[in-house]
Amino acid sequence: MSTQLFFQLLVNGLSIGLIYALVALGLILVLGVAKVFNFAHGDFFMVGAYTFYLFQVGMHLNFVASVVMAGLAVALLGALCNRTVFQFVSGSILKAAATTIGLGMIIQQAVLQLAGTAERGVKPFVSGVLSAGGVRVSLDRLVIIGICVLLMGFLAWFLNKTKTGIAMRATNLDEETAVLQGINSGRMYFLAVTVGSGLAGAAGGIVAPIRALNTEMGHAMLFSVLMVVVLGGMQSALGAVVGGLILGIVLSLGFHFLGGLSELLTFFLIGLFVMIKPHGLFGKAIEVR
Amino acid sequence: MKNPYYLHLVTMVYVNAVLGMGFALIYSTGLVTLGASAFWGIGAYASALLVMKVGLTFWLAMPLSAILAAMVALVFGFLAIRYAGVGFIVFTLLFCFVVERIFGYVPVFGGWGGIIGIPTPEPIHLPFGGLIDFSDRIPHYYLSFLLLLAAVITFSSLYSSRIGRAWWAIKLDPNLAAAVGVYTYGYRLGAFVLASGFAGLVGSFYAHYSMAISPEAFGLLKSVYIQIYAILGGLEHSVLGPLLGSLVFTVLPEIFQFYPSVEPYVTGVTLIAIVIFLPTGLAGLVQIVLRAITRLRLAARKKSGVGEATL
Repeated sequence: MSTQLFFQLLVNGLSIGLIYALVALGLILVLGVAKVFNFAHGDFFMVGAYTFYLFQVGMHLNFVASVVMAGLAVALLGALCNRTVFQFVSGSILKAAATTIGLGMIIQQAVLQLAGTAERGVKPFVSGVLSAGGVRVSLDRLVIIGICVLLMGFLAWFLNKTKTGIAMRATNLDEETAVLQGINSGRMYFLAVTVGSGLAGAAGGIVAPIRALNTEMGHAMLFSVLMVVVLGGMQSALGAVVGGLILGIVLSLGFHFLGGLSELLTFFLIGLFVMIKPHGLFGKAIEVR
Repeated sequence: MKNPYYLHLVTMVYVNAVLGMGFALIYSTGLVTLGASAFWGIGAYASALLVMKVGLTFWLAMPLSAILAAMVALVFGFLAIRYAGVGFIVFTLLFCFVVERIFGYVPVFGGWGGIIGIPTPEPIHLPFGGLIDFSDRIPHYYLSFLLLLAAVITFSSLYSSRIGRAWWAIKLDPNLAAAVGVYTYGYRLGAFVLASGFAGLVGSFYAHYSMAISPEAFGLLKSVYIQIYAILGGLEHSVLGPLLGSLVFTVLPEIFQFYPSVEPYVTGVTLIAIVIFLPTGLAGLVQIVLRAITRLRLAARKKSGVGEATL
């Protein structure tokens, strides 16, 4: 395999892996802090992509602004869902499952009715290649990688260096004790859901230029992100990032050499991996109710 | 109500109810499975192939398919139940995913188009000279009802037996149950195998009822729906719950199929509303209503001064 091919595949894998990681981070933020497994998280991602389309193609906003709008729109959506649904099903995974699936249905249908069934395409934000050391890789993937890294860096700073972020982590760890320390857990729920959903929306906006948009794209993303979380551990942010990267790169290389079967093989391997490390790479045991 | 469409609806309600009861059975030991539809599919494909390729009669193929599904469940459960909790959910999820892909990619299962032209069950010759012919909907309806009845009777008797109490103990606290001497692993495996066997049984029925099967019907979405049948019905009521849940969740989308733009909203909102406002589910609602009626009757008796207030 030529170096050129390898690097292109690697960059592709990294870019999609970071997207997976971003969405996964959003999911476990909601799961860990607000204790809700949001099965509509994939649909949030889809809404982000469509919102991006709306702003970039419909209103001719530039790339970054459109991504920001996508993130904000979905953050708003998340806050709404939190108010209406999440807060009632916090803690029980089965209830969360049923309700968020219902939410997903509603959201998907709403987008379908507003946007129509035709697949949408968005022109790439930046085209062209970067040449370095005799190897050429597409620029748009690098941009994706760059933006994802930036967002994750911001998230890491927020969670580790700001009072609010640390309060959120405290709520994640042990809510009762956090409340005793004076942390308003309701507000933490709200923040976590808003930020987590916003991440998914932003991710949707970031990949919109290189994907064909359709209302089903959320479900595939949810499944992939689930695999990422299984790999990395349900409570671990680092696990989400590492898991996302692994999945992205493995799938990128796999698709090229094995085609459709690579998916099957990858998930089968993940199944084997779970046998050895049931809680993922960095996870701890959590209870299922 | 011999309208064939209604018959079809109720038949599907019965099938889905059995699947939901299987999920509830497994949940009664504290395990959440996302793989129920895979065993349904195994039963369906096994039965179709046994009849079409091996030449068996449906009446032999149906129990064989159930047994086959149970055996697969035995092997899978043997490996997976150790990881009770999140790991188990993940395993069943992957299992369902992989099985659906196998049905789609392996040629003997007919690929993604599935198998068509599955023959209906052979007619039964009654001792007094009658004939039950399955070319019509009505015998299928009665057969599905019989399967439902079998499931209800089997599961109910188990729930009220020592085995059922063991399951309940395991669900409450597996470690404590094990410490008291309940063989947690074995009871869980037993529940899993039994539920999957029944899933295979109605899978076989389904194959010869709809006469065509394809991999998509047995995927993750169906597994999630099966979960919903049980949740809607009320997780405390493992027998009546899935029946009611299946009723609502099978019939509701059908009612609104003429308004496809509205259907997802109705289904979604119903889901959310029932889970939030009726935490004990539809069966719980029935219980509440019955209790209210009881209280009213008690009050009426007291007022009219009839002896002690007993019923």
